[in-house]
Order: sequence, then C-alpha cells, then structure tokens
Amino acid sequence: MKKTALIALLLTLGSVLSSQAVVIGWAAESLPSGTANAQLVYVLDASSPVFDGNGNWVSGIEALGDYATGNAIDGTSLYPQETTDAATRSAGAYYVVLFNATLSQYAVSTTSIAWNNGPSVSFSDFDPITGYFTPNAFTDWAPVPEPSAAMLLAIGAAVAALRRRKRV
Amino acid sequence: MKKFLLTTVALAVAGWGHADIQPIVGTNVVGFAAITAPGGVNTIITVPFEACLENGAAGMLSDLVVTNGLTSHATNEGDADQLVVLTTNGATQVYYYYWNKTGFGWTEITSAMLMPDGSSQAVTPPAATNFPVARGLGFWIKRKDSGVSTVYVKGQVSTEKQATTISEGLNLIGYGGLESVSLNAIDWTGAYGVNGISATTDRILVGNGDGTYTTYFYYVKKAGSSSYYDQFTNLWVKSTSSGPALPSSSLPVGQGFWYHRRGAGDFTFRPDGQ
Repeated sequence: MKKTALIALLLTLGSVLSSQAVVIGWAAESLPSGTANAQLVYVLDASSPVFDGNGNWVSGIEALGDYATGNAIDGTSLYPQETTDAATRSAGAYYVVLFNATLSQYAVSTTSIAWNNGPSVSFSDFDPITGYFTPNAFTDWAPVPEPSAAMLLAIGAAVAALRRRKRV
Repeated sequence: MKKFLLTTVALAVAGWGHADIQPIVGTNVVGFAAITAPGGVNTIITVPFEACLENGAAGMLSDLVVTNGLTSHATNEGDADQLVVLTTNGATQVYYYYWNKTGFGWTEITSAMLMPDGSSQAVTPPAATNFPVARGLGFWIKRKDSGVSTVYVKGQVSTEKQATTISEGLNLIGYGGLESVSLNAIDWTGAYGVNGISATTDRILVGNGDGTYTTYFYYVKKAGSSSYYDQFTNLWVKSTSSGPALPSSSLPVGQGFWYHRRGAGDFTFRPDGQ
C-alpha cells in the first residue's frame, strides 16, 4: 500500500521516469561454490547475457558498476548492493552474473528483473528501493571466452610492424 | 583610594547580582538550528523542537520552518521552495505540499493523486499554521534555487526525552536532538536484523543531496560466518562492494532520514534509551 502510494505520488509529481538515472538494489543467495565476484548486468532484449568470442559482452549488454567481492560475499550470500544505471532505459532487464576468482568462469542468474521493477529500481528519492533483487539460482559455470588466436596474431603483427618502423 | 573602593563595591554588587540570576534552563527556551539544503534537490529535514510555550506539544509547520533567508519565494508554486510532508489520510499515506508564497510564507497546495485504480483524488492539506509536526518526524524541503542554502528551523527546546513510533514499511523520521549524532552512538533497541543482512533486516536511508541515498543495515552476524564479521554485529553498516563498513560520518542536526522497517511489528525509537 505504501509503495503504491509513493508510486502514485511520483505520477502526481509528473516525474519523467525514463529520463533519470536509476538505482538498482540487488543481492544473491545460494551462491555456487567458487563464487568470488558478482556484477549487475543490463540486457536490452532481456535475454540471458552472453559473451562474444573475445570475452566481451555482446551488443546490447552492459556491465554496471564494480564487482562485488571480498567480504561482500559471506558464505553463500552476497550482501545487498546498490548500483546506479545512468543510462535512460525504456526496455530490458537486469541480471546478476557471478565470476570465479580469476574471472575466467561465469554463471548467470536464472531470473531477472525488468528495467522498471517497482521494489528494486528507484527512480527518485521520493521512491527509494524497498526490495532487493535476490536471485538464488544460477546457470552452471561456463568459461569466459578468451580473445581469438586470430586477434592475437593481428596484434602481434601490428607490434612487430611498429618496431620495424622505429628502427628505420 | 576612593576609586579602588568604588571598583571593589561595584565588583561585589555585580558578583552578587550574577549569583542571583538563575541559568536559563527549562522548557521556555527558543532554539534555532541551521540545516544545509543543497539547491535544486530534495533534502529530508527534521525539527528537533516543540511548540513554543507548550512543552511536549508538536509545533505547527509554519512556525517550525523559518522562511527568512529562503530566496525561492514566489507568486506561483512552481518557482518556489516547497515542503513535502508524508502523513496519513485515513489508511492511506499521502504527501502534503506547501510552497513559499511571497508575503505569506508556507501555503498549502491542492494536488491530484492518481490512485491505483486509475481514479484521481484531490489532496488538500490543512493550512501550515494548523498542521502539527511532531519532533523527530521527517519531511522534505524541495529547493528551487541552484545554490546551497541554509534552512533554519526553530521552536522550543525540549528537556524531555524524544520517542518516535516506527511502523512497518517506510517512515520519515530524524533524531530530535540538538547535536549531531553517530548512528551507532544511540539506542536502537527494537531495530531488527538477522542472518547478516537479509531480506528482513531494517534499513536507514540517508540522502546524499543528489537524489541518491547511503543505506545502512542493522547487522546481526549469521551463524557460521567468519569472526571477521563480529565487529559489525548489532551495529548499522553500509554494504559496500567489498563488504560491510561502519558509517564514516555523523548525522548533522536536523538531518532526517527514511527508516525502512522490515522486521515484524512496530517499535518505538528511543535514541537515549529512556
């Protein structure tokens, strides 16, 4: 009821919700063994986030904020985090992505929240977060792709060419 | 010699007179508190005073918040500073709006509140001269100007202990004392925490002046956690990306905040334990 009243207030104020930075509250439970880092990720089409072959998020996916790590992970719990998303959103979803200590393996939450989720996304200081998105199930660990051999060869060739040019 | 005697007598009389004057302590002392309110944003304030000459009584909004010095007074509400007070209208929480009308002071605004069923309901606050605000309750000031300004609140200094009822859900409150205070230096008997920071842990949200908050959780170490977390138990902590951290600053006088009660039931906030 209170949350509804606050949302009604926002509408009364005529706030332009999609034009403001938002704060997303998130946490995680039942972390799989080996979890050492966690990050909030925005996905434009709301599908489960994936890396491209070079270890970068594919187009439409953005990692937000710092990794939550160290003592933020207490046993199988990740303590609540509040991450600011400065971009204007009108679609999409947020996921929690876990990584191992070397960031070479990742696992994705099997659930997500919509860009305009009521309890976990705050659009103004009149409407603070009242609940944290807390997934408790994740995909199996998968390797984060490394840059392809072709890319490494290209970089190597460029460096060699540069050195040669300097000598001349 | 004569001069010396006269001086001695004068000093003796002055000393006797001074000893006869009682220090001003009691309930009829008017106090002022200065609160920093950044421009162009919303700030939660709380008034640590009561109604003048009415010990223990709530002051009227128009008396508690001084309009002198607030440059954003205007002849239309959109160009003026505003006060926004969270209150209840029957069973529903509503905000009452007031604006700083040139020559009149805080003036109520009738607003239309969109209800969950899509209907519109007019919200007409009482006059600011007739709207009591209890010590320790929080409300907003929306600054129109872009510059930082000082807002003065005033009222009778209370010699009584302050207590504020905190209900389930979001509460706008503050510390009703006349000194800055560290969150962990006052009594929070009744605050709820369990399992480190869980979904039912109580929260306090302190505005940062830019539309964001610093959130503090009432930390209670969970069974099986490492001894590292002992230092935080039964204290308010921030939850950072590297783990719990104790608050690094005190709340200034007049700083209000959200209290998000997530534990079961109401409790009474008694900052001095009385």
